[in-house]
Amino acid sequence: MNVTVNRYTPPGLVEGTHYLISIVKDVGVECKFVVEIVRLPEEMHPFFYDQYNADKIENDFYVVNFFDYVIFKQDEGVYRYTPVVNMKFTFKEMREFVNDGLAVAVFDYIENNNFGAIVAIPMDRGLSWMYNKVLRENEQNLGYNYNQSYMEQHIHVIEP
Amino acid sequence: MSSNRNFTSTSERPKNGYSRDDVLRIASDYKNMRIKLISEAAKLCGKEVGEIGEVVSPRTKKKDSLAGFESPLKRKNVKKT
Repeated sequence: MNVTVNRYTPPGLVEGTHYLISIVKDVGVECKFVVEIVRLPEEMHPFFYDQYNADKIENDFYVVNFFDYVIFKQDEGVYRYTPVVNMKFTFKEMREFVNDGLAVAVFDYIENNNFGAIVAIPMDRGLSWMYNKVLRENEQNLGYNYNQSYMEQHIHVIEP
Repeated sequence: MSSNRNFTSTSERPKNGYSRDDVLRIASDYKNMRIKLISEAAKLCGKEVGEIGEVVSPRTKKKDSLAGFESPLKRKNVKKT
């Protein structure tokens, strides 16, 4: 599977930093995903009140999301978030998607931006397990701190 | 993995008062809201495709083998000799 990550500006005025992950599977099938890193929405602030102060959460916390690129080609209201289990990835492909796609985008963001914390909340247990593995493996090399204390809730937090 | 930080261990229950289901419901609602917002922004400007910029160089560790990424379920079934 070939995975490429590009910086990306979505059509229209959309806040946040975006990346485009382009994937060509070994069988030739292509798919794309948009990754976005935006300020943590207000409804998620209370998740972190037990460990961080409110000012830091409000001003310096960001969240990572990814979406299937088809959101730009669907009629309004048709597309809903698709859990990774529906992405028709094998385990190996999903690992490559996380390691060579999502993580590459997030680590690029880390290198080029100031942030207090970046939060990821995968919907899928397998994806959460992979996030954990990739974040642990790269922690020392890339110099961030990985707060695993919310793992039970599928929340992954990295800090500078 | 660092062991000298002051974070609580993963086995400890989070103290923020949210269950995993609560968190995932809120996160799912949020993702769907963002999808709607992004797709509507694209429709408003009449474009389906944005601007693709430069390629990002990978900084993640490259794995020579998938041994470390073996599924936990698969590993559980391996017979010990």
